[in-house]
Amino acid sequence: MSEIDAVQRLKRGERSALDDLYTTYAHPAVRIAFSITGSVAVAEDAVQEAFIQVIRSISTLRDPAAFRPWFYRIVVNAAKRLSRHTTRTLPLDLDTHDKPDFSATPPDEAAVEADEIKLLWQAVANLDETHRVPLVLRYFVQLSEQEIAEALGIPTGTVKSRLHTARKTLHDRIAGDNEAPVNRSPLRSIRSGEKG
Amino acid sequence: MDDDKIVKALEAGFGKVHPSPGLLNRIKVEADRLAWNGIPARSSFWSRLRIDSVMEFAIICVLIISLVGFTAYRIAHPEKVPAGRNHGSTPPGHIDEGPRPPQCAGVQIKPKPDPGKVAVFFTCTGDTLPATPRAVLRDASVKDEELRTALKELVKGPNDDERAQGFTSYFSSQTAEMLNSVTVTGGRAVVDFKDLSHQMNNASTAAGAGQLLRELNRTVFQFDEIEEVQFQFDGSCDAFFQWLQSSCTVISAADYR
Repeated sequence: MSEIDAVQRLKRGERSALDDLYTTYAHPAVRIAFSITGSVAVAEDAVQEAFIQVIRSISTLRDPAAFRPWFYRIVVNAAKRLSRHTTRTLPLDLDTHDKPDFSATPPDEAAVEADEIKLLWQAVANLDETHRVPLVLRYFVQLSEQEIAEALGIPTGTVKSRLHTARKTLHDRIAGDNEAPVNRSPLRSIRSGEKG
Repeated sequence: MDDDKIVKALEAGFGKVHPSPGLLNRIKVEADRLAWNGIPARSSFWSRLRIDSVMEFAIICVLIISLVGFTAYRIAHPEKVPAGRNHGSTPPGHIDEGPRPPQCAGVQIKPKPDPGKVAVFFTCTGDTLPATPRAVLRDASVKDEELRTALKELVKGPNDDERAQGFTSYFSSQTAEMLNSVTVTGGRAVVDFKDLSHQMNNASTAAGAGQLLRELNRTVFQFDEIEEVQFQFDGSCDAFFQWLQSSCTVISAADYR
């Protein structure tokens, strides 16, 4: 409700609405952009550009409730445009620039699971952008498939297909990385699309 | 387990990715500079106009006087001003000031242009949007390269005579060197451009994209052997269509014949 209110206030030109929308959306937006650009600095540029675009175009948004996918679409397009000439991939190595932080992994988490999560991150980072972005929007930003379709400007069926392919790729890569010379890793039991 | 672990992996991977503390302020500064049009951000008339120096004020005065003088000249001498000239990326339908030009005679190309000729399709200034592009002819000296020749001519835009007739296009002399390559394999053409986005800012609007694609597609699909076409920027179909606010699409000839 407050989000819709903020959008309506922005449509009326109330600048304080920008602060409210920034508080709600800046974190996920930067992370979505980072998943495309591989650089925090470029991701922030994309988010800055997106907010400016929002201010310029908010009058064209008819339904304030549709703000979320509309905004994320602007973020995705800005990130793609800015990263076009500086192709980067997500960092695989935890000690590199823009490094991911695995220190938040609960201390009681089993070492095996921690390894699996690291492998999963590397597999995510190795996904091509076409599959990585829907995955981030679905699992990290918690958008519905319909909202992802609106954010990426593609049919819902394509979103489902890309998510399925992304999950399958993750499983295949992890299963491959964990395959023991004789016995198969427990991860081999994980099949695409199955719930654990 | 699957979904939970994916979420955990993403949370771990993005753990240190946060907006920097100054980002909101940067956005506000940029918004003040660029985006809050029509919303009073400053108290005085002069600050809203952003005229910060006497020199800038003088330059603006000179420009206004020049504009008034030129307009007066055009009113007094309408026949001496070329009409319908457009060498930039102004959208079709917005250039026909002054005496109305003869309206784009164009040529009929069915069933095919004469041997040694290829058709190039541009938009007619006077046509109601969305306009169907009309054909003009260009010489194509090597038969195997007819498609390449047609596209090389298309990206040059209408010539002066054609512009005087009322033809217009997003393509112009500024885009003459923007065609990278044309390859045809088994009925599918792949047309690769340099990044046109900086030369054609306005073409990425919905109407502009439609007009641009109609000119491209009509030019490509005049050749019966071409069944599909894919456009790309420097090898990326995604980049081309993202510029047009869409996603990578292979276009079928059936929609344009």
